[in-house]
Amino acid sequence: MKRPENDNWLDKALKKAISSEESKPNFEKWKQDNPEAVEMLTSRAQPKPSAYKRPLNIWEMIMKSRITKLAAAAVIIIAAFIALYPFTSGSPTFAQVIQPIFDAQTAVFDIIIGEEETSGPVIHDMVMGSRIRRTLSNMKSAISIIDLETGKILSLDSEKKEAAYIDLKGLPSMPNYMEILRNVIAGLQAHPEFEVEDLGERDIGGQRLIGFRATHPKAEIIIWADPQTALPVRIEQMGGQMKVICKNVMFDVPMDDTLFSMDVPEGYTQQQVELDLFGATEEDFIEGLRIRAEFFGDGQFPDGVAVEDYLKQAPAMAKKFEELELSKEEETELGMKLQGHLLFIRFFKGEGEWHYAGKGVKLGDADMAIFWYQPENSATYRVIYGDLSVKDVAPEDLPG
Amino acid sequence: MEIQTQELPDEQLAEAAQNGHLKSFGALYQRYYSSMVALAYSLLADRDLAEDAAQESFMVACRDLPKLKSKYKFAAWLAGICRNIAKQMLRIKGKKVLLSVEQPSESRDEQEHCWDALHQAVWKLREAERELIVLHYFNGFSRTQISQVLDISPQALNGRLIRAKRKIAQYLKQNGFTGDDYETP
Repeated sequence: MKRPENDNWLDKALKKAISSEESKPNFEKWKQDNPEAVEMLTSRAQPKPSAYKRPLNIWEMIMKSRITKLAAAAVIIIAAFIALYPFTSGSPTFAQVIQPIFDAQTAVFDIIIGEEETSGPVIHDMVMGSRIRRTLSNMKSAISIIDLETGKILSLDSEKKEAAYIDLKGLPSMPNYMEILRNVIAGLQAHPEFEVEDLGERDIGGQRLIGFRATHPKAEIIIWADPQTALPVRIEQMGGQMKVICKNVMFDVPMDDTLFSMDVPEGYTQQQVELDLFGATEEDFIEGLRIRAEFFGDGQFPDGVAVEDYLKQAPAMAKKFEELELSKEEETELGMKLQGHLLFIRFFKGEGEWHYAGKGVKLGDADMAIFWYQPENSATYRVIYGDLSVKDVAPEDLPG
Repeated sequence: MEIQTQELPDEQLAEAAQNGHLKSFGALYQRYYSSMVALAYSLLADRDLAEDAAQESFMVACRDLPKLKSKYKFAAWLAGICRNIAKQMLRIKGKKVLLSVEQPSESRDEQEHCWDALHQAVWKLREAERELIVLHYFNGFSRTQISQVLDISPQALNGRLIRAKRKIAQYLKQNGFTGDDYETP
């Protein structure tokens, strides 16, 4: 067998002849040299047209982009948070109003899902980098730290000293949530049909505010700002079947890193669960209806199944959980089923709107249609009855 | 607290860039700029032109990103763009570009002749082998990165590298050069 020749000399010679350490990338210079290419790329932040019949809200538009699906990690929080990012226009006053949003590194705000007058819970959010710290006004001991970078939520109960890590399945990492949103919104701004209407000044919550309605073929946002400082203090977004109000908005508030720690505090019990935000099915929704009627409604379906209804009922449901004296495993299983139920509504994938008529209907009533919707690309509707059976129904045969 | 964008895999960055995320495109630029220069250099044999080709490749990539179907193959797709641009440049300037490689000056000394011969040996290789040799010796790229850019498996890369080096050594030997000629102090 022939012994292989030593070619170290050739390696050295080729390295000497070819190697180059001079070719250092300089993206900043490339951007300066290629402004049109940069413009072309950033303009693509606008999502592609959707097959949905109803207009998409900004939240859903962002969801269309896989990279920003991570925004869904915070489920409700982020849906509202997106309302912080309105569109811009050539109006200098409006530009002044939105500028703090684009410059912000951190943000603090309160969120109300649904109508403000219905006294639903207030969600308080603090945002820094990829992390969001969320608390709820009606569940004082509950704190959630959402890490969009790793797709994890650390859920803490300070009363029970319990902690749960929730892994959000299938989400890409998002190192800086605000930056992603800035890019998405920047793309939307360029839409030729984007319009801004000056709403003038109004008294809202005892404060004199100046308002703008920013409309886009797929979204509408109203932003209210302090006329003296031009800082936005209230943002309203109506999308699909959910209204989100962000108020008491403050930007660049100094915050301690420890508030966003994903470490479980000492003395807490710990569990780990997984949550597929995008995999909720009709079966998950039906199972949630059964649980809500059976466990929390004394055999009757809830008054509403919208996210805001769920949020309002959450404290009572948490109390009921305790009364049921479930094992940790049973509690977790029930909780996960309810998550699936909520996610089906939150990330509703059907055509048009869903309809709920279950208020006051008893579980088992086979004659009463309690929920119907049109699945994507379907000519017929799915109708769920009080006995939780499901039928395909033609549009003309839908319940009145 | 943050994961640097640079640490994300190509497919995530490419997808983000397709959705208008400039920073992700910047991360891809940082990751592949030098290898595109090397790739272009393997065709053009001119470092300045190779830099121009690499810059233009990213401009075209920026424009054509929506056409990229397999985000896992961003590097190979970019390399295809880069090859096309380098070949266009070659058609325009090719004769001038290759002049120094193929026609060494008579006035050069022996040492220069042996390095010229090495360049000629490399540039006489088949294109695929030449690309590999240049990428391998250009700037310390990892084998994984070279595999991605050339869209070949690491195993195929090893085999091709050995064959290419054998051809270079053979060419040098036929032209009267040995390892001793390249053992410079």
